[in-house]
Amino acid sequence: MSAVMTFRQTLIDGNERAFRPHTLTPMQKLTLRYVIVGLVFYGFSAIEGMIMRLNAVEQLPLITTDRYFGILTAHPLVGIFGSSYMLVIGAFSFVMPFLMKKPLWSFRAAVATWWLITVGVLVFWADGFLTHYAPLYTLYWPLPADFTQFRPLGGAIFITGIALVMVGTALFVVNVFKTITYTPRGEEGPPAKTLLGDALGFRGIANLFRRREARKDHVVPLPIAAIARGAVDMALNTTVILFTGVLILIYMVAELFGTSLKTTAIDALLYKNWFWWGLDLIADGLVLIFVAGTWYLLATLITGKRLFMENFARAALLVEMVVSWTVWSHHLLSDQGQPEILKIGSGELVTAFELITQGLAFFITLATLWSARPLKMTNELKFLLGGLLGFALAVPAGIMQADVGLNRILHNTQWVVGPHVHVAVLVGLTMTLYSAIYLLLPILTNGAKLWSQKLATFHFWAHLVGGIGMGAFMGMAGLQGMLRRTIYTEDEYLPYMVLAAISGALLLAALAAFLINIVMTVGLKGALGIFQRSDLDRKELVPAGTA
Amino acid sequence: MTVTCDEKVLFDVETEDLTYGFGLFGSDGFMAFQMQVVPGHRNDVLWQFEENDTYTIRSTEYSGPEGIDMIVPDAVEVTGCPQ
Repeated sequence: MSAVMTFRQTLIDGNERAFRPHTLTPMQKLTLRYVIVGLVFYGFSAIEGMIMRLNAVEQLPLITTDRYFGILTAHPLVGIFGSSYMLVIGAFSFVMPFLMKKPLWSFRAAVATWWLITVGVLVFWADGFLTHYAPLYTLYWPLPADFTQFRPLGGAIFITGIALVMVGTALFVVNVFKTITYTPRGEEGPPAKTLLGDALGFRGIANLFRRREARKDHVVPLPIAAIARGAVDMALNTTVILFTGVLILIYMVAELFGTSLKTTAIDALLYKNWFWWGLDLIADGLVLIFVAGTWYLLATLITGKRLFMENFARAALLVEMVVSWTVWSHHLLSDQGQPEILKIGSGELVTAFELITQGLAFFITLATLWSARPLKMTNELKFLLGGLLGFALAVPAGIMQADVGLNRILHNTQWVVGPHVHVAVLVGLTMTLYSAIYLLLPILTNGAKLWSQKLATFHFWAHLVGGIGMGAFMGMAGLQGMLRRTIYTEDEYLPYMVLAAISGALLLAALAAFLINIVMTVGLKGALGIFQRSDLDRKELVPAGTA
Repeated sequence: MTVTCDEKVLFDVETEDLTYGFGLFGSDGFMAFQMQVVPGHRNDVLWQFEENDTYTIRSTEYSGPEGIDMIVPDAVEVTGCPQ
């Protein structure tokens, strides 16, 4: 009986009552709100994924064709914008002041970003749930404006939700560059131009042409340079997605007012190039750059050492950004109208360069960890190694499908979405983010104590094995011809789908273990307290005296 | 359609509404090749088969919920390849 009481007390008050939300600064609370909403949307996406995995084993009566594709449209958008964006933006909003030793430029803008993304994701998710608007995230023209299959009102609400998310990310980009370049009133610091130039890499390039003794020191920490360069890609893709959204909205509004605009007015292949150029700035741009920057930060915080080959790391981040502007054509290798020079140049050669840039980030992070051995195998270190492994598997899988020959049999198969996309996102990106959460948890909570190390260990292994397993079994089915965006009814690839579903269930179990552990750590009262107003100074990152 | 092994076949596919895919799948389910079929553009591929089989044509690109049944079973029969 007393054990039950202890469990209940822990559930209500948190582990050892160590988490006291009234001690949190507004910045700590805001960051934790980003994390909570990011995890809730990760849960949405994981449940949707599990529904689709089960449906691939046996068709579920409730999952009609329309509903299935509604889920398939919402699933990646909720996962990327609702979960990954929220976690990354929240973490960076905290890390930037931490590393730059000055407050975030605008706390209000950070709050507005949180609201815009949360509401935007809820709007397009609920709309997809109710109206089954399902052009998928690729929005190949003219499918998003095909009103024989989709209702224009449902589509207009869906696109409005996406637009809200984009406005929120635009605000975050402004906040990033303003925070880097401004100097707090009454303080002295380098001019904005110098800070911006270093963040974007110009100082590093100029140093290449200076004698050793004349080289200028960096004024912006390396992870901040990664955030700035990823934010450039974020600004570009936000512009492209917003512009495309407005274009689609014009067709929808016209339809709602009784005028059907000609879809042939827009060249489908040109649109596909434009949209993929923007969309790929997420997958092959900001994700890779942000992840590399996060690896570097985690490696230095875990080891307490300087980053190995720091200048190479800075240069690689710059190359990564430039490469990300020129790789989109690997998505159009099976488009016969696409110019061959773009297929070979952008689609194959430049894309293969990602092996070098991401390989360098992988090597530099591992070498930094190696230089500090022996290291204690903490949760943050385990998850960081998991994240490294995820990209070590997913990047080569992507390079394989970015081959003109192999693309003939891999394009749009389960290979693309399994070993490449899901291993990159679930194992590579998400495990990196989990590493950051485990590392930042005591800092963000003023010393909350993790409830169960056993659950954290289960979380690690179940997520790692589930993520790689699901990707691998989907990939095996893909190699045998299973497509990614259709419904099979004849049990064609059943053994692989059963194994992928078991792996998916393991991923869900990992999430459940993590959430239970976090709730027991902070307690239900503590979780509610995160959403209550803090009376402390907005400019303080952590309470005075605990920094 | 019946094709002999030494023949080169030009698959020239047109669409007037949405973007589709055009893929040929062998009787074991493996894909032989595919291409995207984009409205307003020429979509053609010259192909020489290397194995005797009966191939099914299937759209490999999502074109909305109504497009998932775009399958022509046993559309191409290839004969004459050395066994």
